[in-house]
Amino acid sequence: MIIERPGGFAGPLPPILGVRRGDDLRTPDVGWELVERARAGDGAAFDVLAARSIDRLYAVARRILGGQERAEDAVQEALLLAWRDLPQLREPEAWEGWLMRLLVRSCYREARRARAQATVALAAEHDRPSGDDPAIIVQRDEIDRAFRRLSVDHRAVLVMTHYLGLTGPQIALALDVAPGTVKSRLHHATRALRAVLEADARSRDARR
Amino acid sequence: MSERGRGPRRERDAADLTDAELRAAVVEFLASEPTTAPDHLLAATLERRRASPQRSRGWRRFMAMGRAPLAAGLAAAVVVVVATIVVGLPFERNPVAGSPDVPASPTAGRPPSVEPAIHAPVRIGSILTLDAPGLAVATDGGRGWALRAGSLVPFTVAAVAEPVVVDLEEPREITADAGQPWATGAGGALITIDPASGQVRRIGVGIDGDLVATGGGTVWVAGLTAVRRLDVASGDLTTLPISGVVAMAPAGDLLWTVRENRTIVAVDGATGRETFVLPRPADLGRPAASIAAAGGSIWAIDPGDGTQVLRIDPSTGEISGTVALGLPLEQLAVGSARLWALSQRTSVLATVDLASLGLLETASIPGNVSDLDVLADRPLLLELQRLLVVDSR
Repeated sequence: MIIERPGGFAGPLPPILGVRRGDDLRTPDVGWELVERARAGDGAAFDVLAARSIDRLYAVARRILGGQERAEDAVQEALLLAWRDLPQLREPEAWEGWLMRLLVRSCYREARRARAQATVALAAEHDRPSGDDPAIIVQRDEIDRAFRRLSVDHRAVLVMTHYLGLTGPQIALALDVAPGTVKSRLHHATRALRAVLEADARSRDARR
Repeated sequence: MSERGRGPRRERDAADLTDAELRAAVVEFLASEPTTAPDHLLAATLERRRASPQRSRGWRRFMAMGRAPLAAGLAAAVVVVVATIVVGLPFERNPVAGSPDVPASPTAGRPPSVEPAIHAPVRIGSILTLDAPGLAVATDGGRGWALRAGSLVPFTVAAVAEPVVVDLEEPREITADAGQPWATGAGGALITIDPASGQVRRIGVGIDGDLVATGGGTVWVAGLTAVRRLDVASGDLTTLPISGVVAMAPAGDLLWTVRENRTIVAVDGATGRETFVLPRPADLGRPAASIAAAGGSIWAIDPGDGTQVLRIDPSTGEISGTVALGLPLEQLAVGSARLWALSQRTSVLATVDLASLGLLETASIPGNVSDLDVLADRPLLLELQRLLVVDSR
């Protein structure tokens, strides 16, 4: 069976994904009947769900983990866990949020494995548009370096907030933490990012 | 933005950006990263999927099959428990939690001395429905307001009123006192609805308010590095030189705060000068912070392991009582004679008698409750698009 990536839900994603601030994670686009069928053991239905979700999952994992290989591993693990445990998902309409939570946990495990293997990849693959203003590129590179030095906790909450545009309660569900924790984590993440940026700037100044 | 005490540079560093500019730069950076999975990933994943079995629907179905030996079932259960503990597999607080087929973990985080308990479902007195997800709620007696993106929704126990449109970017927190809600968001905005005229007022407080508290004609807004104090009558704004506030509650002349280093500190509400500093707990974890003032006492989640409630005497700054609940707590709300403690991770609401500090009841709640308050002396739960008014003992 050939699985095509359908247009609309997946495909090349817009800069900010389909979930808007204030939206419920339970978007109707996913097709609950597919979730129902997959939950009942229909592998083909699950494959369609996976094809629809894989870009979104990869985009999030890539931002949290930084490297392509680790992001791929996290996405694959999350989807396999989803397939394995899907019969126990009580509410099909909760599929999206549940899958995102599985992905975040896979990212945590992947980051832990990377730390254990002492293979922290600080250099990013720069497959980005190159036509931007040089000043913007320099600034983006500074943020890129600083972002990669944040903890996974901090990167995850920044990605959920500034990339997916999720609300506090939605992030709390995805990260499996209390809403109050989301607020304080976002606060600390922003502060940590600024602290790293300032430290890098001081270091550059010292070299000048 | 802090100064680094260095000379001018040729171009502007990211470190020099304002908070809003930095936020925009982070959004731009994240948007610039790749968004499409490599083609081989889907194929490889589906190939592995086809070789992987699905987990069965659970214990009852497993037993109903009648062909698996009991020993194997027990062994599987042990593996599941060990896996949950060791690698955190997704069996905790998720859409399947609470299912009779799934080993949900209502006792996760409890000290070993606490007996596991099965909680009866919470008794819902009434349900109010919002037409879009709420971010937070605030109440004042029998009235309340739900904070949403772009609006405040007034409600009572009986009904939800028409939303009031507010210009509030990235709404974050809401509080209410004297019939007046106060909501914070990005852009240094504080929004309120005048109780007399019904008019919406927007007040620039100069910091993005992560927290807001009000009482006695004063509003405090806590941001990344400072707390701003608004005198409601005069409109005067002052800055309290305190930072790292993760929860706060005013009581009399004092503003009680929980700091990010997990210390409870009471400061003079006008000057920010420290009045009481409670001993910093041992490094037991990073529990959620919640603090409230009611009934002549201060109530806070123990900033140590986060499983008990502390009662603090506001006249001495000393702990005058504790309630060990054995649950990872995230939020407190206090009524006239009861205190309610929310444990979202275990989906439990605990009811405590204020006078005796006795635990009256623990009840299971829906898994996606995100806020707790008190409406007409009854606990109020915010569940994405629903407000659940609980019938409490």
